[in-house]
Amino acid sequence: MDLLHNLYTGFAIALTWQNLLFCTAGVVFGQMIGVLPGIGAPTAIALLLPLTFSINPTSAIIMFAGIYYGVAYGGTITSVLINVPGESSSVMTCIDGYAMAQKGRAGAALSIAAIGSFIAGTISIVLLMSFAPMLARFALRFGPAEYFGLAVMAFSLLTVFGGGSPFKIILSTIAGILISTVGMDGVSGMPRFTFGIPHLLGGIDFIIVICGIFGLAEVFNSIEEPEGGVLIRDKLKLSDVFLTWQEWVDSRWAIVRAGAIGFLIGLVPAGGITTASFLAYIVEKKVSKHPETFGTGDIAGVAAPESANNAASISGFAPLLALGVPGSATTAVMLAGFMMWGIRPGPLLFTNNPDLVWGLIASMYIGNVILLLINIFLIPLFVIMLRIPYSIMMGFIIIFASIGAFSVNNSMFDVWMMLGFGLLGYAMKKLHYPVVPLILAMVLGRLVENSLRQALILSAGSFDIFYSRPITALFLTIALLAYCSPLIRMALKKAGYGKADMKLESL
Amino acid sequence: MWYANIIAAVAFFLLGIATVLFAWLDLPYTADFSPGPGFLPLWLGIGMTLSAVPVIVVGLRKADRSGAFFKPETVRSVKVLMLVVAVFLLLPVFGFSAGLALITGGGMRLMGNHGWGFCAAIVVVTAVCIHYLFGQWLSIPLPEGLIGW
Repeated sequence: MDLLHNLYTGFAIALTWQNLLFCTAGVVFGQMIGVLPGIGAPTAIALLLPLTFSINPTSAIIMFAGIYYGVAYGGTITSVLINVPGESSSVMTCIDGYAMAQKGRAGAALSIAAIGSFIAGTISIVLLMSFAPMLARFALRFGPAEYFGLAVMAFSLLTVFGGGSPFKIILSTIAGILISTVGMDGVSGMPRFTFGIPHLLGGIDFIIVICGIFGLAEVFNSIEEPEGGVLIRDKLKLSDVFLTWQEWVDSRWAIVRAGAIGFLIGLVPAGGITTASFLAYIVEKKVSKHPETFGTGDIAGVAAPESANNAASISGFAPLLALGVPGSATTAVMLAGFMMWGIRPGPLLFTNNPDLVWGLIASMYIGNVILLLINIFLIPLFVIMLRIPYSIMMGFIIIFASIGAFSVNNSMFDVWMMLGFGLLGYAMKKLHYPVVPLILAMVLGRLVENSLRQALILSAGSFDIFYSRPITALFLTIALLAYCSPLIRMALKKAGYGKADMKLESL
Repeated sequence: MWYANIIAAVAFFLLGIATVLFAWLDLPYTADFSPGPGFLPLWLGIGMTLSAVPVIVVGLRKADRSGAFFKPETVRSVKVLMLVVAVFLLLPVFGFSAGLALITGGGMRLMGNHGWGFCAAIVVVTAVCIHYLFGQWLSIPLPEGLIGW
């Protein structure tokens, strides 16, 4: 009954005209961002974050959540119509989505993506509603040692899910934590890595880093390597979006399976919506009676990744809201937002800020309905956006990033620092150093250090606390296994197990 | 790209060593019953140094050394960078609203070869939008330049 009462309260909040407006703005903006290659959800939220200082936090988080799952919907359009994923989470959709478009079924591909996203998203919201409060109650047992273990586990799982060289992921993570240590030490008040620059005494604000790495760096990278593609224009009549009965039969269980996979992957710190869509596609191909049709325009190959990425984008809020630990770059940026508004996500959020939590959850139902309608009836309008030249868009991204960085302390020093982080992000992306671990580590860096120090104060300086408490020990064991996973995979391969093509170069 | 990868890994290696030295020499390692301000930076420095070693070794052993960091297309990024730096330097003269608006016109001219008239129109509209959206509506105290705005 509590659940229904909370949901009722949530709808009362989400259905106020302001929140409805922010939710609609968020999903429409998210859909637009998803359509545009070269700009993603973290970038969009990072650029808008400094502008929400004066907005009610509930309205702001409803809008940001709308952007996040709106992006998961919008990325499909370019995948299907020009074979270029608007988002990394839509990479798998290109395979069968574009093949369907070439066969004249672009409308059906876009339609099943929207319907699948809606159904899987709704499944995920229902599960999130039940699971997140349970997780929050469980997390009430967490002390500093558990939080330290949890953060370390989140970092380590990036090496499993992140792809690419694990050592580059570790270097990126360490760089992120190191950036978070700049400024006055929270306990002793001693300046660290400030080099006599007074602007650095207060630390480096994550908004500056995020605006540089996600805003400016994306511009430099996109302008250098524009993503091309041939737009399929003549297959988008409203009548085309309706599915045949056979198409529905072929995809309905794929949606349910992908929804479950997406929900579970979203719960895992560092799981992410891209991993969910990859996994859902692979599983669907494995369970299919006709795996040979995958890659040639099988509708289940569109339904599965799109359903999974939407489900994961919603369940990704569970660790953020209940534990205060983000699982992806987007939720890390949102955590930065929570901190900026003076709200501390975690187990107490459900009791201290029920309006925010339940308003957000209720808004997800509304946002998903809006997105379903948009994606079925307004696709041609979003296709027009594909014709906006990047030379026009990039100027606006730079302006938002610059004003975002400036607004943190009203200081030009921060704008120059943002430019520096933009160049760092540009070089990192070119050299295949992932930027997500850096952002995640930077946002969680203070939590890691404070938890570590508090835990050791509690244990009078003894490190026993990290293996004598079962939950901490479990988190740290998972972390250790995750960090060793590349070596374990190599050893298994040498021993003749597994088919993974693991080479020394991949380290 | 191979060369750039090695340089980046060596830079991380050196940054790690510098962090260790700074933490070791300038920051206390311990405090009462807890690690001091130098504890985490020291271990982060050690971790960074050790993690950079395999990247350097693998890079040096790599047979495929094709690809370059600076490609012909990199000129486009450099042009945008120069535009951004020039605009940032000129902000005290033009002010934030008009100054940042120059980025849109400059970018369109440099990257898109749009006409001068169209670019100028976009600059004016953008400057007005920045002024009213950020300066007035969101009350961000955007610095004014010598010529106002």
